[in-house]
Formats: sequence, C-alpha cells, structure tokens
Amino acid sequence: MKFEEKLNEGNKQEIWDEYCGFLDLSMEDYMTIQKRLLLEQIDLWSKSRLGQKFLKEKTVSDIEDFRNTIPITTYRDYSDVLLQKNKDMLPQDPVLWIQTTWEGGTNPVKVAPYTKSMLETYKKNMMACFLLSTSEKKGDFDISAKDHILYALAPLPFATGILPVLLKEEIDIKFLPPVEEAQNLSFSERNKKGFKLGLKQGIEFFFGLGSVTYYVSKSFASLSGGGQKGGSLKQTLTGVSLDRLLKYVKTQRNCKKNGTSMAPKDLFQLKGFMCAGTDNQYYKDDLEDLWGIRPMELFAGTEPTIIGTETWTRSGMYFFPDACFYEFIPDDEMEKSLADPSYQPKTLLMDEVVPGEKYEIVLTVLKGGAFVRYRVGDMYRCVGKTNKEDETFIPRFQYVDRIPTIIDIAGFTRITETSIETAMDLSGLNIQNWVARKEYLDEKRPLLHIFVEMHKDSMVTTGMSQQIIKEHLSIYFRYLDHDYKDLNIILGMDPLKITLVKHGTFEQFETEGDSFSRKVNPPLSEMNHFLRILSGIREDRRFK
Amino acid sequence: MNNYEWVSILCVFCYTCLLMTFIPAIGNRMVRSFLGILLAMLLWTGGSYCMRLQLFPSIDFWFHTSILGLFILPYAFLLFIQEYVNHKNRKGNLIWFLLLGVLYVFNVVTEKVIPAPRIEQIGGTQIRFIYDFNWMVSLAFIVFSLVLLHMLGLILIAAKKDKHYRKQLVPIEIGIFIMFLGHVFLLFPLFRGFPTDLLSGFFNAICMIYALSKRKLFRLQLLASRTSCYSITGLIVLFFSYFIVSGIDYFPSSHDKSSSIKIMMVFVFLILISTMIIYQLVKKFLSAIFIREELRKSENLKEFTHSVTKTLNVQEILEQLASVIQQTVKAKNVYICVTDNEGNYTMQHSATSLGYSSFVLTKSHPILSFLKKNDGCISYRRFKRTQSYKSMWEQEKRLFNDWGIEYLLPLKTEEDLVGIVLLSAKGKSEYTHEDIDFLVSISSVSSIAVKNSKLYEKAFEEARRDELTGLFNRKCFFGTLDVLVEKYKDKSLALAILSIDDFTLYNQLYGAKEGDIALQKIARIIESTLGEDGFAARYKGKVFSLIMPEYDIYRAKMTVDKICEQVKDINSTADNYRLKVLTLSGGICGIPYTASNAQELLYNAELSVYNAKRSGKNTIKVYSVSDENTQTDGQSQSSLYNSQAYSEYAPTIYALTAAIDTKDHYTFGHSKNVAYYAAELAKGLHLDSDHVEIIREAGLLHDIGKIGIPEDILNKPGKLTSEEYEIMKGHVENSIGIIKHLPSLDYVIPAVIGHHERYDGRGYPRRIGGEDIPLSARILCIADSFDAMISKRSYKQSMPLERALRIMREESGKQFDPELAPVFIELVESGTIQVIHSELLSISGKN
Repeated sequence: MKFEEKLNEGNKQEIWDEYCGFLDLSMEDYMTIQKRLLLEQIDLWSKSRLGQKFLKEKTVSDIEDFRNTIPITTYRDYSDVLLQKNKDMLPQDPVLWIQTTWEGGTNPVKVAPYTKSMLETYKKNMMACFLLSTSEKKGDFDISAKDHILYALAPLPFATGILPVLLKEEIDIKFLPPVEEAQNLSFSERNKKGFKLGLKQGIEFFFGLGSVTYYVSKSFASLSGGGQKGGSLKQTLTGVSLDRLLKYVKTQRNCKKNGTSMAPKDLFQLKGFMCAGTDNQYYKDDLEDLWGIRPMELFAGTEPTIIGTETWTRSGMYFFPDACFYEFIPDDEMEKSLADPSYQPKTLLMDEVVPGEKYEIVLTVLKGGAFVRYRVGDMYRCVGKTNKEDETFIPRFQYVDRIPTIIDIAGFTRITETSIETAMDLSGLNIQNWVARKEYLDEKRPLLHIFVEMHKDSMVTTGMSQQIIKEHLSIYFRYLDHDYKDLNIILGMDPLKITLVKHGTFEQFETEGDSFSRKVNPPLSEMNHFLRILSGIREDRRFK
Repeated sequence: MNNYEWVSILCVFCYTCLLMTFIPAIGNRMVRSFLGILLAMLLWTGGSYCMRLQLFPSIDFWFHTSILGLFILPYAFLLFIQEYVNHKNRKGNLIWFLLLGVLYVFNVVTEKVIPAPRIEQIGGTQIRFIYDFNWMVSLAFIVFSLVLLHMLGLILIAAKKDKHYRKQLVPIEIGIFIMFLGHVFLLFPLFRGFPTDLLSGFFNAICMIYALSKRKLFRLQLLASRTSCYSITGLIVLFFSYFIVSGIDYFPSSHDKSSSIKIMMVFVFLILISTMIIYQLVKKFLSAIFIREELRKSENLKEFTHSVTKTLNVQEILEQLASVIQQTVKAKNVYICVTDNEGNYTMQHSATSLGYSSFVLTKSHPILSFLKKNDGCISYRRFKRTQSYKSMWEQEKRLFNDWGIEYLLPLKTEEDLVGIVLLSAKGKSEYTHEDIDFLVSISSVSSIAVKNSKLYEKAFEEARRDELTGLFNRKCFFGTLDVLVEKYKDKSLALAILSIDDFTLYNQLYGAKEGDIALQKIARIIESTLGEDGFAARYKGKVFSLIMPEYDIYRAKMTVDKICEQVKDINSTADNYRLKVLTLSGGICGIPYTASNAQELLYNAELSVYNAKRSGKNTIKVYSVSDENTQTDGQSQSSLYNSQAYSEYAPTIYALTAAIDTKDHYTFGHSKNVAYYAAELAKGLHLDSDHVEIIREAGLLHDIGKIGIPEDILNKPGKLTSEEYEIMKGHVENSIGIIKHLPSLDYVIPAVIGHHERYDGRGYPRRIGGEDIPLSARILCIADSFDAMISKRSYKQSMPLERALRIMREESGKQFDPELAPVFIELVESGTIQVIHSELLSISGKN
C-alpha cells in the first residue's frame, strides 16, 4: 500500500508507528533487529563470490565470529568487483548503481550497488524523515499529496537522485521545477524556476546538502532583485495567488524601505526542511534565519544509503535499525589504525557507545548490500543514550566531520594527502614541505588551509606570494577534482587558504623532537606545536 | 394508477417486506430503532398511498398522516445511528424532538410549511396531486438538514475510531441523501406533479436491503423460519397477481372461451414460476441477514471442541483444526506451527499436500515476539506495519507473500504461545468480523488441546526414554523387540548388545560426572550411526542395545564396528587427554541366521558379549553355536588390575621411577612412601583391590614429571622464586605428558593430575574442588602431604607426627577431603599405617 493511500485512510497514529516507531524501540529490541538482519546479511554475503573473496573458504557462524574474522574494509577492497559492476559476485542482484567521487582512489569514481530490498528500506526510512521534518511533537506530522518540494538535488546516478524516484512511488508531492525539467537546467536557472513556480504553487518542503540549500536560499534574494528590473517581474508574478502577490508586494516594499533583501520566509511557510552532508552545523543558523524553520539533519550516503535522522527536537540523529549494522571505532583506536594501517581497531556496537565520546562509524550494509565492516570515513559523537524530550531509549549522535585524513568542504569535495600532493606536483611549484588542515572562516564557512614552505632556491628565482601559490593550486584542484570545480561554480566558494611559512619552520619543528604523523589534519597537539613555532618566529622577528 | 400511485405501492411493498422480516426478530435496542425507521417510512409512504387512493376519511387526513411519518423519519434515523455507533450522549435529542413536533403541529394547524396538495384534473378521470410550496417549506428543510448533519457528525466520529462503521453505513448514508434530494426535487417545476419524494423512498429501501444483505449492517438472531419466507413470498405474489389480473382486462373481450382458458393458464403458469423465483430470492435475502451462518460456525466450533477433547494426538488435533478453519472460514490454506523442545516453532501441519515440514520459526523470530505481546487474530498487514517486521528476512517475507498469508492466529494458553496458525487469503472475499471472532474462539479451544496433548506426548516420550542418554529405555526396548521381531521374522533382523569396557573403573577414576558424559557421547554416536534405520536403547547401566531391522549379520557387524571406532576416538581430543580411552565389547545375533525368536535373539547376543569380555574386551563377537560351549560359571572374569597384571607393568614403573632417581634421589623414596600411604588409605576406605593397586601405582608415578624440571630448580636449597615455583608446578602436566604415552598406565592419570588440587578449589593445575577431584587424587594428596611433612629435608627438620596430624585435622575441608583426612589420621594413630621416617637422600625436595 502506498503512503498516500495510508494517508487517505486517515489513521495518523498507525502511520507514525509504522514509520517513526523505531524511535520507541528499547535498546534490546533495537539490537534484536540489528543482529537478526546482520545474520541475514552474513548468510547472503558469505554465500556470494564477493564474500568468499574475503572469507577464503572460511565460514562465519555468528556475529562475534563475523566481527573477529572479517577485517575492517575500505572501498579499495571492493573496487575490482564493483567498478566492473560484476553483479554475479554480489550477494544479491542490484537494481541500481549509485555513483560518487572516490577521494584519493585509483579511479575517479566509486559505485555502490543497491538491491530491491535496500531501496524498499530506503523508501520507508526516507518517508520517516519526511514525517519527522514536519513534526513538532511525537505522533504529529503534516504531509499531503498536494505539497511541493523545492528541487536542490543532484540527479541519478548520484545518491540524492534516488529521492524523487522513490518519493513518487509513495506520494505525489511535486518537485519545483519538475525533475525531468530540472535535470536540463543550470543550477541558477533551476533555482529561479523553482522559486517562480513556488510563488504560484507554494513550497512546503526543501531538502538538499546543507551548503547547497544555503546557496539556493540566498539566490532567492537575487530572484527578488531581478524582479525589479521590469520584464521578468510580470512574468514571475503571472498566475500567483492574490494573497501571495499582496504579501510579495508588501515585503518588497518593506525590504526597499529598510534596505534589506527579501528572504524565503517572507513568502513561504515550509512544513519540512531537511539537510544532509557535512558542515551542516555551520549553515543551520543561517538557514533558520532565511526560512524561519530550523533544518532537520539526516545522514545519507552513497555506500550506506539513508541511515539516520534528527527529530522534532533537532538534538541529535538516530540511526535506522534496518539500513545498516553499525559498529563504532573509538577515537583512540581510530588514531592507532590511521597511524598503522595494518592495525585492526576494536569496535563497539550501538548498545556499547558512551555519551560524549567520538567514534568513526563502520557499516555493514544490510539487505544484500556489498559492503561489510566498511569504513565510510565519517565521525560521530554520541550525545546521549536516552532522551527525555524525544522519549527515546536508543543512542543519538551528532555528525562531527569526515575522518582526519579527509578534508570535506561543504559536502562537495573530499581532499586527501594524495590529492594535495598531485595538485602540488602538477603546479610545478617548488614546495619543500607542507601541512594542511580544515578550518572555518569566521567559524562559519569551511576552508582548506595549507601551510606551505617553499624550497630555499626557488624563492630567489621565482615570484612567490601567497596569492600566487593559492591561484596556482586552485587551478590544479579545479582541474583534478570536478567536485572542487563545482564548489566554485555552484556555491561560488574558493575554499583555499595558503599560509607561506618561513623557510626552516618544518625543520625546527622536527628538531624539537616532533613530527607530523600525517600531513592532512594532523593531531591537535602536533598542529599546536607547529603553530607555536610559527608564531614564535614571527615574535622573534618583531623583537629584532 | 394515474396519479402515480404505483410509486407509493412500490414503497409500501418494500417497507412492508422489511417490516415483516424484522417484526419476528428477537428485539434489541438496535433492532427496535431500525424498526422505528421502517414504521416511519410506512407511515409516510402508506399515508401517501391512501391519500392517492382518496380513501376514507379524507385526503387531508392521509396527507397529515403521511407528513407525520416524514417528520418522524429524521428523528428515527438519528436514534438508529446513535444506537449503531453506540453514542451514549443523547441530550440533544429532546431539542430535535421538540423542534420537529412543534413544526409538525404548526403545519397541521396552518398547513403553511408543507401545504396539502391541490388536486388537478388531467384528461377525463385522471388526477394528479400538485404541491404549491412557499418559502415556509425551507423551515422543514432546515430542521431536517440539521438533524441529518448531527447524524453525519456522529458517523464521522465513529468512523475515525473504527473504519468498520464507515464501510457499513455508506449505503444508509446514500439512501438518506437520495431521500433528501427527492424532497428537494419536489420544489422544481420540472417535476411538478411527480412524487420524486416517494420514488427516493423506494431507492432508500433498495439501499437498506443492500446494507442489510451485502454489508451485513447488523445480524438478526434466529429468525430465518420458513414462515417468514412464506409470508413474504405470499405478499409479493399477491402484489404481482394484482397487476397481472388487472392486466387481463386489456385483452379484447371478443376471445372465445377456449382462448380465455388458455390465457388464464398462461397467467397461472407465470404466477407459479414467479412464486418459485421470488421464494428463492427471499430465502437468499433472509439467509443473508439472519445468523444462520453464525449458527453453522458455532456448530462447527462445538463439534471441533467435542472432537479435540477426545484425542491426545497433536497431529490429529492440528489436522482437525486446519480442516475446521478451511470449512468454516474458507481460507485457501492453513499452516500450523507448533513449539518444539528447543522453543522453536516448526511447521507440523499444512492444509496443502505440498507440505512445508522444513519451515521453522526460530525462538527469536520477530513474529513470535510480536504474537507473544498481542492477542487475538492479527492481520499480517498490521504486523507488516510494526517495527518487529523490520527484522524479518527477505526470504521470509517472500515466503509469506507466496503463501498469501493474511492473518496470524496465535495459539495461546495464558502466557504460553503453544503454536501459530498462518491463514492465507480467502479467495475473492475478505475476512469478516465474524470470521475473526470464530478464529479467536477456535484458537482458545485448540491452544488448550494442543498444550495438553503436547504435555501428554512429552510425558509419554519421557516414559519411553532414558533420561541420561535420551535413548529408549529398557522397558521400551523389550516391547519394541517383540514387535519388530514379529514384524521382520520373515525377513531379517539383527540385535547388537554393546557394553562399555571397565566402565565401573572409569567412574571410580574420573567420577560419575565424567562417566555420565561418556554415556551421553556414546549414545549420540550410536544414534547418529544407526540413523532412522534402527532402534537404540540403553539396556542396562553401561550396556546399549541396537535393534536393526532388515540388517544381515555382515551389515550389523559393519555398523557396530563403525560405532566402536568412533567411541575409541572420544577421548583422543586435546581436551580429554587425561581421560582413559573408552572401548566397547559387543555381541551380535540375528534372525533368521542364529535365532528364531526374540528371547533366543537376546540370549544369544548377551552370550556373545560375555565371550567378548572374556576374550580380553574391546572386541565384537558374532554369535555362533560353538559359543554356547564356552560359557562358564562366570567365576573367571578377567581383571586387568589384579596383582598378576600389575606385575606386568611393574618393570615400566620401576624404570620410570629409577629415571627420576638419577636426577633427584629424594623423589624416588618419597614416591615409594606416598604409594604406601595412599594404598593403605585406599584399603582403609574399603576400595576394591584393583582400585588400591591403581592408587599405589599412581603414588609411585605421581612425581615422574619432575624429570622435566631443571636440576638447579629441583635441587635448589632454600625458597624458590615465584618464577621457579611456576616451573616447579609444571611437573604435574609433565607427569601426564609422560604417562599418556603409556596406554597401559593411563588409568593413573586422574590421580596424578589431581594430587595438587585442594578440596577448597585453590590448588593447581585445574583449580577444581570437592568431589570434582577424583577420589584417587584426593587420597594421593593426603599421602603426599603427610610424607612431605614428616620427612626431613635439607632446609627443614622432620615434623613431629602429632604436629603433622594436627595440621591434617586443621586442613581437613581446606586442603584435604574432610571425609578422608580423619580416616587417614585414625589409620596412623591406630598403627594400621606404619610411619616411615625417610633419611635425607638429597638436598632437594620442594613439593
């Protein structure tokens, strides 16, 4: 039965229990679902040729055995099978292949198979997110087939492209602009069209990457500004209902008077607002200002599918019990394994996490998925094991960031040590030493900060300002990484910051007995030491 | 019929039929309220009919009678709906009653709201009734509309709580709506003179009939008597006859007499045929609204209850359960799973011939946990919307889908879920409330029956089984042997008796617990080797019997040999290295080869076992006639452990003790002393001579492992460091490592491995305590400690005997067995045990 039919039956409580009832599970019941589905997955996976590739004729009898036998995996372990889309080797036949960039991989993209049952689960969990995004309390939701959703998603074969397809199977919510049309429009055209249609039909839902939703929302101001130029205003407002038209005119006048720009909240009243991806915490406040409603964060990815959502309290994400089997690598174990790739970190299960602790997540995709004990590269902090406000008894988490070896900018691009080194090599810059970390501009916008030490000789022979290095590297980042390029094209961001350090800084750092355990996001203690040396040198210079 | 009186006739006829159906019904509030509607309808349509016939006393009288019916109607509908949806608060009814009453009285007096119709002459004799309404008629419409809105509100509220109401009441709502429209149309000039109101009344009657027969609005109890059927049929036929007879007038009167008779015959024939058809239709209608179906269900339930109480066979109960469900509810398929000994729910019966015996719901299955928490017959659709459904495996979902499961019926007794019935779809129709009620009733009956029969079967099975091994017991063996011999006497049957060699000793050495484990392991081996082909029983304590139908001697011997091979391997694993190898002696006899009846078969097989034991054990003998002659009086049963046998091993033991002597002189003297003290204590405990001998040998060999201890530790003067002590403690394991390579001496292992264990469980190497320490080891512990205390060492003087005995008393229950220590002390004090004061032979001696 479609969601829309259930909605027509009118029993809201039944709908809530079906989709959002996982929030009422006890820890024991939650783990029962997790473990039973994992046993199913072990059964399917170990019988497949992919499973046999890992098991090498060994058998796995139970969950403990599975955790002891199978090492933590990365995409590299699957690439030979998945990149060739070798479906005969998979636990179940995929009906869809989803694609994303493979950061620091041997191939530009990585693909993930989706089975029919994975999509069924995806659909149910996605509907739960829709319900929760409109709820103000337990059991309360407001969703209708007459609603409209503003389109801010990448189409298939990217993960976000699944949403319109699955949503259509459940409820006839209309996308603004319609999906087929949106796919042929440029980013800015799509936004303009979306808002124009929104003025006529209304916008009740908005969903996208935190960064993208922010820039789409910002583009609303330019749309309203564009209206002033004459011709298009008439075009835009044709067919708009009288009350919205009056509201538009009134708001426009007020904005003109106050010298401010129009915000979406002035015209639209969203029922549900959802965002996914990284760095959302830095956009949420601004988005709330723009729309008058705080976005609800959820977590979905190419390999894991949709796995977690916040609730009406917006106080942490809960993981769906039937999407993946979750394991958590404690922070110290993660650091050990990053320092020594042969080290097998210990993992905890959902009922073993400790509030306040930071974990790297390890997933086994259920329902015939390919990935087992897969290191997706994301970090979460457990913020509580129960919640009075939500009346829950299962742990909830906050997304922290990618693991330290990856710098993710606004959910668009993932920069690794390899990608920085490749860009530096191609640039021809005579860089002797460098270290990079993710920082936030005004504690709001993410950026990639590279501390660069040039080779002594090149400083004499080449003009080498921070700006020149930045531009050089930016060009090659854009050349190498399409996502980085999109960051610039779509969001207008140039997230690179270069600090040229004095020659000898790295040497001094090492002389003082320290060394960077990794060049990207090194541990805080190492970075602080480095920065102390950096500032010390400057002070010395001042005193001289 | 010119003034549309046929419309009135149709209405009156329909409502009269309905009324006749209801009048003999057993009344309850709901039936009475529905009767109220029917009466109001009759008043209205009947009044109108009489008015149109211009009957006595006057048109005006019948008009007001008809209007009275019309004013009562909304109120009657309201009462019925309130009753139907079980709405208790009826305070507002008085207002409606007064409002309608006042309006009616006002109309009677003034005739302004609904004025009496005007008679209009059309043509010669034809007349029609024309209503001339003014704005005042809207008053009636407003009041009626308000009452109807109230009613609709009640339906909506009830439908929100229970969707059943919405579905059931739709035809009634449509009927009311049509009637309302019918009255509105009266106001339009287009319908001037045509009684649209009465026509809508007819359509309302159709809606009512539909609601009662198809939607089962409500069921009437015990009314479907043939009398009702005859009455209604009679009424309808009368009605038709009236028209038909009046139709005869249309034929020209010039027909001759014979033609008239023919015409009459045709009419009579038509009436006859229509009577039969009408009778069948009425019967169908009545059976649809009366509870004959329920009666059938309750009869089936009664019959089922009666029959299941007569049996204690689970399978029979399940078959009957599936059958009664299929017959009564018409489910396409019924699958029944019943709990087994492990707590899983295995499919024990399915109504299809395909069978799904391999289907199991494991005890942690989400359906089970869901059904344990929920009662009643639960729709699978509802389960699919729960969180428990999330943990269903895809293949399970597919299977349930393929089977078309629609309902889950738990068989529960109090809190116990004894089974589950999975019900597939009914075909085209859906499960009704009555079906569900029936299923719930049948589940409570069958769950008790299944539970009782399961308990009985369990008790019956337990009575046939040996508790320890799970094999059949001796009593069952004898019964089965007779039956099988009788059954296979013309074919072939083999009997094997297998006895565990030296099992008494095994028990004494390792304790009864290890003995039981061995019995269980052997039983599992026999069971798995024999499979479904044969019958295995625990014949006596350590003796098993195997009945092998259709086996010849050769095949029986092969099977038994396989069993013996596996039994030998039981203690060959690393975990069981300290245990003695188990062997079997067996005898085989078969019919018709060497026996002709059960008694002879058993006797011969037992004789063969005896011969196997005599010939050195660990062998299987097939009975032959010559065996008969070898039977003796049983006195010469061999013993491996008599003094003669011991002498065979003495050189080995002395060789080993001499080996340690070269390394540590003290140990050899100590070993001899310990052997003496231990053997004396064993005698004092009245153990048999074999056992005493084993303990003596164990005493001699208990420190043999010291060969592997470095000499600097072994001969170190002064206290050992903790590391050295750990190495020293390893001598126990070393001892076992040496002795286990000498199969003929393996029986001393339990004593040797356990002689440093303490009774309170704080010893080494296994930290076992109490009775878990073999008796021989507990004896050796006392002897070993006593000799250590009273002997002189390089680092200590010999302890006075009294002090040594006092320590033994103090340590009784701690280091030493509290029952053995006093016996030993008494033996020493009484002089039965001679205390040996060894001379210092070496400067070593940490023990």
